[in-house]
Amino acid sequence: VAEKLSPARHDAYERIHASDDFVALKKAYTGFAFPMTVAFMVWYLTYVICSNWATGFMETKVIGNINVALVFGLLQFVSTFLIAYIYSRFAAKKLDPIADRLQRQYEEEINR
Amino acid sequence: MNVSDDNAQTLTTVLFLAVVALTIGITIWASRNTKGAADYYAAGRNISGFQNGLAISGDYMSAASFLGISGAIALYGYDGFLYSIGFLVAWLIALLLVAELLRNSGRYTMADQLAYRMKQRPVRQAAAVSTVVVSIFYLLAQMVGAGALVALLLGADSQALKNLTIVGVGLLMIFYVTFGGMKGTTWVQIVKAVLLMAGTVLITVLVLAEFGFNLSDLLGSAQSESGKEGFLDPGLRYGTDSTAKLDFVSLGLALVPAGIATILAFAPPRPDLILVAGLGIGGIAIGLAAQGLAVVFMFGPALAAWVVTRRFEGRGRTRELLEIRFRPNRWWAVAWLLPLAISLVILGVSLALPWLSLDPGMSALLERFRAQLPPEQFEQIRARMDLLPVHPFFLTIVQGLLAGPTLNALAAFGEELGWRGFLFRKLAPLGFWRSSLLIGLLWGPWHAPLILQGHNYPQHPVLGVLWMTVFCVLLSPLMQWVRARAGSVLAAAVMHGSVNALFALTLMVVKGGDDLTMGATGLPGLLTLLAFNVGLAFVMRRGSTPPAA
Repeated sequence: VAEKLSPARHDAYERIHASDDFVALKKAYTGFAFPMTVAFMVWYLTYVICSNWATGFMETKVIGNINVALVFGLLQFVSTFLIAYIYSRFAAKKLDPIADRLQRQYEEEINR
Repeated sequence: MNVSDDNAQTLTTVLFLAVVALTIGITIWASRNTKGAADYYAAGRNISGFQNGLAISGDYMSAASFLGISGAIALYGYDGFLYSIGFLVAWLIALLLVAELLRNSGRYTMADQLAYRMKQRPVRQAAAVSTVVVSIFYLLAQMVGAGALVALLLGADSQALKNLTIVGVGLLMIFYVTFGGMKGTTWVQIVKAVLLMAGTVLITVLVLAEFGFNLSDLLGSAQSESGKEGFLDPGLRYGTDSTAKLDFVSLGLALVPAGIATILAFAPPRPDLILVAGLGIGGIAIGLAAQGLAVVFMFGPALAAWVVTRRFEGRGRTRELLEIRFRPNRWWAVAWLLPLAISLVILGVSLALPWLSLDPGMSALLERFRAQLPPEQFEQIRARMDLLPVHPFFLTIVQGLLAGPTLNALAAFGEELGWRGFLFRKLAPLGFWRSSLLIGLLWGPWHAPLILQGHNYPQHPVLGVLWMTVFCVLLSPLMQWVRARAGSVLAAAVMHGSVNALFALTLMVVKGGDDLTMGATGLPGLLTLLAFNVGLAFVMRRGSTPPAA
């Protein structure tokens, strides 16, 4: 399984690393993933903190026996699935084309 | 048990056996369609994204999530639900921060990725060791849970029958992975995911229908049935005081690295890792089996080593590859007698330590017996001891020298075929010291199930695991040296058998310490073994060619 990189492959990596496409790929990825991670962590921690310290608010009844706590918890499910869906759309549209291009370029370079 | 109970029992048994038969069928089908390494490790790269996703869901939907979370909700109401959300959100971390980068790098596991930028060997070692250690402790709980569940499903009442089902479940798992490869494992997980999700949807619909699809009524009824005030509100579990509250916030944060660790655990199975999983299961089985049965389960490592070697490295050559060779040379005598010499040195070291003293009347030993045995049996043993013509210490030496290379060696062979047979050869490229260190690090925690039950270190079962690991790490080079010189794994079995038979000597005539500070597996033993290792390093430097596989 041990992988030994030939100098040619290593140089190909280095060239791709410096290319505009790679910079754009990294920028697109971090531009999406980092703010999104911060957003859902804040959203989740707000929920955890409310559950522990804002119990009065969480115990407020909405309809019948359904309280804010339950709705808030179910919204965590909704937001998680929504983020996963948005992310897969974003990756297919913005990330995969560049990544595929780089992959082709890399294979051409090492097979030359 | 009335008639309807009997019917339900029959139905669950039939369903259970049907699922087992289905998964065994899949495994056999997969093993017939598996040719070559790419098929075995990566299912011939023919698993689609959707199939893989289902399989990973199957992996995620473990007994822990199904039984653990529904149990937590039943006990703590809303706080059980709160707990489950941590797992859900942690999944986003893996998705956003790990998966994309790993995929774009064209590598399969964290170790593959890290190994590109760093030194291969240490990264792989670290990944392998952490996977094994986590798996052993994880499997421990999983297997007990699975066994208890199966016993419940099949209506097994006696403890022996329950233990047997746990062993059966373990064997079934080894069978799935070793024979089915990646293809079999993936399909078994897909079946599991589909069954579990379909079952959950069905139960959810049936329960909601019971309440006329009115969620509020369902919750109200749960509240009144639970008999707990505030069952639907946060705070029953994590809100008792501010420490509990902070605990939960830190738990919430801890789930984040847990999400990442899960990715690491998805490393594609390699024969070595499968072997180790087998070793783990064997170890667990030991912990669960009664003492008398333990001997049988020491053969877990042997079974795994034999199956893997036979399957991957050529039939017919298995014995040769594992060096199961009966051609005694003088190193066999060393294997037989060295443990006695070490025990006597440990005894000497013990007497030099300030807190230990000579105890020819064996009062400390008798005290331990008195605590463990019924009074009449204890009196019997004591009476018999008084009749002995010589001191029991010498009888133990004779008995140990006879039992060590025979009866005990036979039992130890089951372990040795894994450690000094398979791993010895596989890890030989690492060099003598590193490979014996790694074998020691696997060999030690393998004893955890036994030690946690109070063997070897009855006063310190948890710390005992650590002590035992140090003990195994220190004993490993000596075993490896003798085994390499003797050129046979059978010599290692003789030495292991003699160690098991003779190291008890170090506890017989000494008093003054506890299980961590006396005996071969306590401080005197560890210090002595350390000195023996220094001696071994010296011998190896003095021109003796280092033994290699």
